[in-house]
Amino acid sequence: MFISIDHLTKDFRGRPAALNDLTVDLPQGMIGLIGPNGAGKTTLMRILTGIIKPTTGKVFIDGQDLSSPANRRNLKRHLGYLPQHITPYDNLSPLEFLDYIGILKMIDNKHMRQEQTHTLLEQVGLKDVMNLPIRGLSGGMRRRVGIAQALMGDPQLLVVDEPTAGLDPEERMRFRTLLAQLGQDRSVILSTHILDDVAQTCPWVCVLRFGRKQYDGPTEGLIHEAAGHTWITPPIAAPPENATIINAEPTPQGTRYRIVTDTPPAGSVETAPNLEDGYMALASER
Amino acid sequence: MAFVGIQLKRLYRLVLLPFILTAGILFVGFLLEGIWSPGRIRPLMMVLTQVPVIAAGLSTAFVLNGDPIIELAESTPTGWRKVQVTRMLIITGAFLTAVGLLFIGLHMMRLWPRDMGWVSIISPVGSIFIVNCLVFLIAVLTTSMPTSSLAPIAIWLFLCFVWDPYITDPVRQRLIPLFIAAAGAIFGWNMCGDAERNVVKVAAL
Repeated sequence: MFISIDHLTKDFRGRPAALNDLTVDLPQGMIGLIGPNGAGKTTLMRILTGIIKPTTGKVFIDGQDLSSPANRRNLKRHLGYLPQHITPYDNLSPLEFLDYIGILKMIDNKHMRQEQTHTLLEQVGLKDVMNLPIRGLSGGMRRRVGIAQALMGDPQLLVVDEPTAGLDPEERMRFRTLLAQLGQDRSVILSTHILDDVAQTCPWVCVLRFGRKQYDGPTEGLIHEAAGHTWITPPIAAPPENATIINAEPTPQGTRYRIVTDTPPAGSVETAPNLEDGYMALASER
Repeated sequence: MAFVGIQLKRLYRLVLLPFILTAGILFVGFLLEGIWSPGRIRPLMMVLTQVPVIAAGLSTAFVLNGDPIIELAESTPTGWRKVQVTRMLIITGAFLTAVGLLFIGLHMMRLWPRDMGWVSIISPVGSIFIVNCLVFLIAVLTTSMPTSSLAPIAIWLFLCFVWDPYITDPVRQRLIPLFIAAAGAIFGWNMCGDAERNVVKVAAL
């Protein structure tokens, strides 16, 4: 699915514009949506899922204008959405919950629903617990129930809002592998604060800040923003000035900093940037 | 049908509640019929027949609030309004049926208080319809369980102590508030169709 966003603005009463004249084209595949809190990521996702309408501007998905109610309704038939805060009904089992979502997605054929439910629960590794009440499942398992429900109906567009927040490292890796697999034959929009997840799974990234686009392009391009500006300092006593500190590693001689700057302290060694460096370099440019 | 079926399955305990209440009240009436005179039983029935009205409002408030997947429902072609309205209709339908049966039973036993014939059925049926329509409106407006739960009690108090004692004709007594409640429900129905409001209001809580 090709998504085209054209001069999108969203105002909420009494608050600064959540999205401010945003224009961006998103290709098919895995797309990382990153930015600080309040950047407008969740608002953009809600607009892309047809839940809320923009104040001005348009969104086209495969050429279909989402300002038309009929197009929004049609989109929802081919959409999988995992909101940031989803608490599946805890008295239901994963099997029952997915069946419920299947009905909401208007999969009227019971046999088809059951087949999909079983396949998806196997895919997300919940087959063994599919008949247990959700209240007894771990946070990671609940999150997997969340992704399984998003996949009901075999959606061509999958929108996931911070899916790995609060997951342990093992669950996170499992989850992003699953997302990467899903992104092979559909569009997946992944909003997250965990840049490593984007670096590992998304070939395309869009950075938002204060409701505006700060970067939109290949992930490699964002990493390249920090090329020639990423340094490892020698162990020093005080943090370097005029530099964005990416991380700090204490050593017996002092602290060794990974920084993004044009003016590194003496003795610093240039290093290959990663997505975090690129993102911070972009943030310090604003 | 699958959609109504799954909602029924989720709400089956609350759907059974009015029938249990009806059976209980009829059983009390049946037991007392052999001991007390109808004139003595009717005041008690006047109190007991109000229980389903309040229970209907509280049940409606309960099913219309606190759902954790509003945003998810809005992202589906079904939408949140259809979920809410279906739940309200299921609960209202169950209470209306049960209270209809209650009326028939007590009317046949000549125990229905202030019985003016079959037309008196409008009193309990109308009360439930009025209370549930207004609770629906309040639940949509406030998205708050405590407020929605207080609403049926307030509406019932108004009907019992302010409205009913002065408007004695059973048709006028129920039809006027019924029209107001129906208008309120239509307003609530319209408001419930605003996905942005549903999602943003709940997210802000």
